[in-house]
Amino acid sequence: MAKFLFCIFLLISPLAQAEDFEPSSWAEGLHLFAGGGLNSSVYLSTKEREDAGVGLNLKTDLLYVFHPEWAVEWSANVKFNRVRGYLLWDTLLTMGVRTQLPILSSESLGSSYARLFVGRAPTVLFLNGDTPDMISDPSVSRIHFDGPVAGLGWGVLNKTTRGQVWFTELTFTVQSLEQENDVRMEGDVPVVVSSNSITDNSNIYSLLWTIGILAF
Amino acid sequence: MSLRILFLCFLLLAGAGSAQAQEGRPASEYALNISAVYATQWTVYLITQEKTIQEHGSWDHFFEYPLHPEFDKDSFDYNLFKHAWAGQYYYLFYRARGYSESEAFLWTFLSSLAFEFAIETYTEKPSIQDIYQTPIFGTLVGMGFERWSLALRSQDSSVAHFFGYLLNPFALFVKDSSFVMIFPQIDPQQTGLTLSWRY
Repeated sequence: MAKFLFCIFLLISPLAQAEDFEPSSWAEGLHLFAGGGLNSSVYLSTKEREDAGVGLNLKTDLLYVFHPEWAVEWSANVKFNRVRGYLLWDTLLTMGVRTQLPILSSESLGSSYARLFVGRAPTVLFLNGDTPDMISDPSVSRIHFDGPVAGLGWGVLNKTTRGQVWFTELTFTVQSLEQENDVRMEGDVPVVVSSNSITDNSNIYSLLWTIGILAF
Repeated sequence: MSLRILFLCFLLLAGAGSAQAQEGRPASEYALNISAVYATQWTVYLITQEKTIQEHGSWDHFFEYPLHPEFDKDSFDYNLFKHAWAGQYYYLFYRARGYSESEAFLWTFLSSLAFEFAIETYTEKPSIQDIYQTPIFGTLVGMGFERWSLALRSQDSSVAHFFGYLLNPFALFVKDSSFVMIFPQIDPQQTGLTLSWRY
């Protein structure tokens, strides 16, 4: 709750006004980045290893820049993969810090930055009407997992000749699956039919590449 | 049906005054705008969630749930598409009222919070995903629709104008964008509103 109050405080702060943003000198205030890209994920536990292959992802970062080289951020990275033919939908909701890396910046490459973030990651596996071995109730339509996530990223910012700031970024994340909820639908209402703690050290490791723009 | 009602409610709210960019907007105008959105949210919620409200609604929930936000168990059609769709209407409404992009985003965020913490809590706990995704994705969709709508409306084609206003219906109420009149029609047989639109 305190985290949300902090985020809301940032949003309604009188300083939170976006001004002209330069890749090498960030304007203080609120900024929104958005982009899409690809991810490659691997699921590992003490019992099994499952390659989730390459999937799409959609990333948004809400930044509050408090110094020309530093910002705090509230982000969501939505990614899709396939595991054994089932659709896997992850939402990595994180908070973190972002800083410029002048040592890795150049005119040809752009202005480098690094991100470090932590958060929670609701993960959903859609069963497509099947009843896998680990599910006893055939009415279960999807499995929701929950657990912490942490990650780091490195990206570069550039500006087009028309003045549009854009970025490309590589991100590595580790998410832990700690809780499992089996869900069936009653009309439009999802109902949890069973819940279990996951104790087999289940983790998802992901490498993500994103390209996007500064919205404001 | 519910989408049409939502659409009409927003049109009427936007029509409450023509949008003009204003510097130093008075606090009363901010209050009026967010109150208009809040009233519309309640109206749409009561109409579209009637069954859920009957089965799960409670004033105890309304006052207890705001302290217990959680990750919802919805599918992505709700969390990504429907909430982004609702959020873009908030954004476009505030833009039509003359707010800057970042200002419209902030008020979209506050309107989304109002829905999560002071409307939907009648039936369910605030959703952490929705708190983030409704205003963020809604703003992004709204920004795209606003630009697309403007491009269509700048063309010399009635069809392009039609789709331009379909993408951003609030543009109908922006000063100098078009001419709109809404007037009541009351007679013994029927009561309603007549909308006249010249573009």
